[in-house]
Amino acid sequence: MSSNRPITVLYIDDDLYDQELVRHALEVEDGGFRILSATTKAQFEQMLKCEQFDIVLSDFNILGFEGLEVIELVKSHLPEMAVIILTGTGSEEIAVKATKAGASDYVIKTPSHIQRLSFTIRAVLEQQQLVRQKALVEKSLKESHQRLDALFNHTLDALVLINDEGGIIDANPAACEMLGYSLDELRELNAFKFIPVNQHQDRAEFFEELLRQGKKSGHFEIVCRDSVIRSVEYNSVANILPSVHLFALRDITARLDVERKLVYARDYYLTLFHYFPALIWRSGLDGLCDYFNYTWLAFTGRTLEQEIGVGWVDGVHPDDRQGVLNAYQSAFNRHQPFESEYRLRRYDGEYRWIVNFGRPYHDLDGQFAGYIGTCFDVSEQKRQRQELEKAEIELKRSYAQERELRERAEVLYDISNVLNLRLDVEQALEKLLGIIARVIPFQKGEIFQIEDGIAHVSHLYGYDSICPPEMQLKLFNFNFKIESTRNLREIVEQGRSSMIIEDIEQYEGWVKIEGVEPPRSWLGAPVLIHNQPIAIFSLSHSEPGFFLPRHAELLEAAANQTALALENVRLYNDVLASRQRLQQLSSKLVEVQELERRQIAQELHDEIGQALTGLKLMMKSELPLPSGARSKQWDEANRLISDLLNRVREMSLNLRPAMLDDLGLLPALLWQFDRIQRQAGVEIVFHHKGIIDQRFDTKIETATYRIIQEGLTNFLRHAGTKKIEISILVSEQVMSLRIQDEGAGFNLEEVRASKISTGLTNIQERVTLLGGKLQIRTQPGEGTQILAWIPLSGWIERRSRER
Amino acid sequence: MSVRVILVDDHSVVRKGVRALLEKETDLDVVGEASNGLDAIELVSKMRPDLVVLDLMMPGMHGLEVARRIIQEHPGTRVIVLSMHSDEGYVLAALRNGVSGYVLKDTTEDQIVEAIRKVSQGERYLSPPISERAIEVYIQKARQGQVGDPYETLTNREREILQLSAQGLSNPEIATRLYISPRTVETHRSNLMHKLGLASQTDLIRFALKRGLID
Repeated sequence: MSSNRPITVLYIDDDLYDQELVRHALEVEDGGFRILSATTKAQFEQMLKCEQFDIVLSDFNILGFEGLEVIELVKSHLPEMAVIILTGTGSEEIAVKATKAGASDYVIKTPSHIQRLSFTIRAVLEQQQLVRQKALVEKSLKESHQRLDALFNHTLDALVLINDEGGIIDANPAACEMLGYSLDELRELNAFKFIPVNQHQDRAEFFEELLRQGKKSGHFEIVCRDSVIRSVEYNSVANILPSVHLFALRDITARLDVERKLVYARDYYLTLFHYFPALIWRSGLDGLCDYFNYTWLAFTGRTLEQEIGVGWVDGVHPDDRQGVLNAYQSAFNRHQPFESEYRLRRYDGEYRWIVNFGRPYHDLDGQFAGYIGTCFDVSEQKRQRQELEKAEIELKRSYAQERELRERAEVLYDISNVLNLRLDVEQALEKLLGIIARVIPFQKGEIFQIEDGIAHVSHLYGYDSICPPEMQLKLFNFNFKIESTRNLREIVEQGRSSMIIEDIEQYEGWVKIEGVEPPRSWLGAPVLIHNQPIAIFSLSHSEPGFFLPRHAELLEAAANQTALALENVRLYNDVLASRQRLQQLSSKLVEVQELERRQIAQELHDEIGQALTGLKLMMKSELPLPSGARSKQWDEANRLISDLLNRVREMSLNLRPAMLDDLGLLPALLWQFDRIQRQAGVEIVFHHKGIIDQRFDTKIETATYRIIQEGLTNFLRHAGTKKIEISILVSEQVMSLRIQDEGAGFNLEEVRASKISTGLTNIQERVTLLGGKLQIRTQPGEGTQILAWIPLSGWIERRSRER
Repeated sequence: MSVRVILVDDHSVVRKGVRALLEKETDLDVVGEASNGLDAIELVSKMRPDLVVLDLMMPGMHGLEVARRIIQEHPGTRVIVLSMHSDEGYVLAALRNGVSGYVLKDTTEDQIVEAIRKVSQGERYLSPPISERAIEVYIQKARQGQVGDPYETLTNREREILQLSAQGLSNPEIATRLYISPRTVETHRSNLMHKLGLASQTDLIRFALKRGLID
């Protein structure tokens, strides 16, 4: 309470004298007070509400307003406000009444008491102050206690208070839950009951340490109700109250479990890495290696200590070291992946090729943390690859060889083709040098033809680009006398099959031709027929030593082919000519034969037959005798004439049926078949298509008729059966014949060889003359089949007759 | 009214014989003779006979052609063929050319006269042994052997081989496929080619394509 500020006193007294006494005593004599005075109840009430004051001073006996009423009024407005009662009487009764009503003190209205009134007021105020402070302290204490209680009861950690003997004094709900007992049960238990037996012996020691240090923390296992074991972290404080010790416990069982699993997982993956069947390494931010797996160490046969840092470089092949380090360094600086292939020394000292893949790796925050790499032993693959490369080179070489051989073969084949297919040798030779140029890259080439010791140019190659046409013409007209042309002479006289001049400048006697640049190297080969050179192939090049032995070999081959072809052409022409003559003769022969037969047939028919007919008719008309008078001789003559007539007709038809010319193939065949069936008693099964009312070229009709006739004759003579099948089928292009029986058959080869069967020969001849095809199939005992195809193209003539 | 007849034959002896025969008949009048086809046609145009007795075998124009021309140009003139050929082929050819009678030369004289009488009365005459029936039989016979769709005449085996051959298989390959000998295949192949009128492998493939046997 500040002494500067006067203590304000609300004072009610209806006795103005007393009022003055009090005022004097407080305001004047003491001076530390200010008086607010009221004389009536109304006035007092007004001031009570409106004024600020520290204490109330009241007379006990106020007119109409007793002191006790005042106390009541004040307390109802300001319960804390102290009230001092003034009384004139000083009776004990009033004092008791006033005190009971709540007055803080009372003062008797005597001058001596009033003199001391200031002390009394101050004492009351001080007293009041003390009471107020105490209430505050109590309130605060109570709050503190509540907070503590809440903490104690609601913290997640288990809190246990124990005494010196370990007896449990108190425990919070978390502790009850952890340990598995209610608070009442716990109070009956000793804390050490929860410590497993094997930790009991340390109990004294533990307590001693706790008391000495005042607090202690760590972890142990506790055995809770139902023998549940928990791992617990603890904090203990000794003597938080005398001989009361606090233990705060936290269950870390789950956490430890997770930690254990983490450790296990880490170990698991580490092991995996360690024994992974590849060489694995790792480096840190400084680029130095800090890890090599077991596989690596087993491979190099070195310890981790030897390898870490840059120790591993020792194992790299000295020739590869710089390259390996450069690759690593350059990638490392840029944090780029890299791949390098180098030799690494194995435990047995052998350098093996490995491929090393390095990748930058990052920590969990994504920060670059170094490199991880894997290496594989690729020696085997590399060896295989090298072998493959070798094989490939070998293959390419063989391929090139094969191609060269093939080119040569192709060239020879082409040469032979050109020579054989083109019967015009001149035309073939024209192509020849071009073909040779495909394998012998000469620049200029000539073919000399040799006649009477003179070689003249018959063909040129490669002159077009270097030589104007008139110059080429000049060359064609140029005659080389062989005896004065050294290279040609040498070939001819020495009977050489080829000749190379390495360098013409060193070769005396080379015949120079004006306007033509002489070459530097030359290759020649003669074309020999019956050992006589009839031509010389001549190739040249502007480089000395250009021609190789294999070129010479090839040119010889070409020359030989040419010789062969020329010989063949001559022979072929001879053969062709004789064959043509032969064919012409055969054709003529057949024609003549047919013509002759026809003439004889006509002769027989027309001349003799008609004469006989006339004779017969005349005999009937010119000699009109009575029927009875006809002599026997006359009848006989008549019969003879008829008989002759029939035979003549038969002969004529056999030679050549007029029907074939008059009516065509089908009527002629039908007549023929009919006759043979009647005469020989055989069955002819005849099939045909496309010949009814059709006429064909006489040659084809005749040939078909004759072939069938021959086939039938053959059948009648040899088959020994009674049935023959004949079919003629005509399509747009071909007349197809088949004559077959199931009779005796014969050995075709023998029959052909013996040349007795003119029938087969005739058939063959007729088919061939018409450009057809013949097949005869027969085996002794297996019947005979004759198949013939005769082309109709260009000859077919269809003359449909009206019905 | 007698029947006016022209005789055509290259043999005078035959003409004489026939003339001698006909002159005995009062109702038959031989008004002309010719020794070859061209003369005959000319003579018919001039004489307009009722009937021509015609030989088939003559030098120059064939009797069949002469008959065709006469009948075409002079429908009123009838033609009787007098021939040595008894073959139905000739008879049929003659009848198709419009001839009204066919008489064999070795027949009896009575038949020639009978033929002329019948034909002049508008009938058809064929001298025995030729008859309408024989002609029918002949036509039948010619048609009998005729083959229809040649593919239909192939045996199953031949069809198989045609198919495989058209697909480009060789004879030994076909033989392996069908468990028969290559020679048998060759035989079948030749037969089917004959039946189809094919001369080469190219023809065979072309045929197979046309028939849709291969794609």
